[in-house]
Amino acid sequence: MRNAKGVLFVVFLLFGMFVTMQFRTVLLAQQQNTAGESQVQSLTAELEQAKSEGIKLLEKLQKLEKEKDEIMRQISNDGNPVINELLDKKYELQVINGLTDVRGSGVIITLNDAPARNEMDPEQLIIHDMDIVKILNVLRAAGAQAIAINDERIITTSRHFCAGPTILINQNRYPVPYVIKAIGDPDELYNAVEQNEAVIIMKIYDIQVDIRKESEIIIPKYKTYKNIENMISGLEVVEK
Amino acid sequence: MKFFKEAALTVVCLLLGIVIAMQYRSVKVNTSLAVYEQQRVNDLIIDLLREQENNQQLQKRIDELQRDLENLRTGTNTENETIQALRKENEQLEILAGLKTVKGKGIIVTLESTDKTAIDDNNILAVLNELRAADVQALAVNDERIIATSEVRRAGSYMIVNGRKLLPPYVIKAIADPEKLENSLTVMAGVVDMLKYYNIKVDIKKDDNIIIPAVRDDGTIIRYDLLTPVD
Repeated sequence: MRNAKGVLFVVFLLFGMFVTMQFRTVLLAQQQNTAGESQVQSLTAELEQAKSEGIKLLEKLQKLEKEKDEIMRQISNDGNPVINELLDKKYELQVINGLTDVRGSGVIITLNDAPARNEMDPEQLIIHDMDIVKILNVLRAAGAQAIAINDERIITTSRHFCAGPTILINQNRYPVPYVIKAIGDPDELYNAVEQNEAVIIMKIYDIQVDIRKESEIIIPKYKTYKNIENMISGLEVVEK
Repeated sequence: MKFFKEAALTVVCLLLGIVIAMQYRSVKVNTSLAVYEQQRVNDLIIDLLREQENNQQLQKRIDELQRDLENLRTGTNTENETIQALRKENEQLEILAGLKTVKGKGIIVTLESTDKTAIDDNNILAVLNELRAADVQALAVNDERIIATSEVRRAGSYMIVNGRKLLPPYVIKAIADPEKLENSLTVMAGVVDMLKYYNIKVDIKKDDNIIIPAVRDDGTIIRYDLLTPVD
């Protein structure tokens, strides 16, 4: 009998300890959550501020670049044919490099994740980086002359990706939907994308793929955060 | 009496068990929540740092431009200096466009099929994409320069790049800022594993003297006749 009382005593002791522990964990977790939450909030606010500052700086930069071009034009109008020729060449090279806004006809492809379904692996419902790599490749093969994803101009060295819930293009992160614009022959681009294996597979998985021909698309220029000099810093010209 | 005591003991032990289980689960949920929270904080910090770095670069370029403009306005620059500056700018733009043969430090990635099947274009695209993610500055597949409009298509047992037939093995050359080079090697490790699965042997070599030829400039690869500049 005394034995049973002893057991009971120990069990209640443990019980009490557990209740206290549970209570404390819950309390702690709540504290942690609010701490994490406020950190997320302050970081988000800071990020938004940095982004809007970036937009302002970019606008200022573009204004200054335009001003510089205008002054150069004036100088060349004063009658220096060499400057004139060099300016024309510069403009052409800027178009080739995706450093000017351009307009033309082509296609707009909108991609969105498939609606969630319980029985499916969520991995199969989202758009992967290779899906986008393949679509860009198809567009290039079909003669696209300018391509942008969510208005980020794709240039030779454009880093894209880490798709998943978001996409990282030219250092900027975007959520779905992904809007790919391409200027070229609309029919050729449309047919190439429509018949592409990767696109057909995406459609089978219910990923939303919308392809539209457009007679007028504007594709913005590549946002050069760096100097051109920094973009080619590792390259030494070899004269042939 | 004895029955009552035993019953009480059973009930208490049962409750104890339930409480232990609950405690365990709530701790587990809390940890996974904390991990998720931490991930979000990390992502935000990375984004913030990138954005701040971008802004710094922008400010630097604005300062430079303002100096240039000042010099142009006050006529400090002679016409000769203006011509020199323009020539330099144009050369940089030509390098960026792939119109110059270039040399630099980088890596060479060679892909070779270990069975009789042809290497798929997707595998080459995957390698190119990973290399771009590591900030490469010039790229080529079997010395065909990869530019913004270059395609990589498999046709039977060979590959078409820039409209030209390439035969295996495929040698991908990349020149990068040496500081970023280590990055690209790390990134490549994942791709190598993926390619092994497709029976492709991957050889990665660092090289300090990689030469990448200019893009063929015959009007077939660099095309912009359909682009109207917008002001």
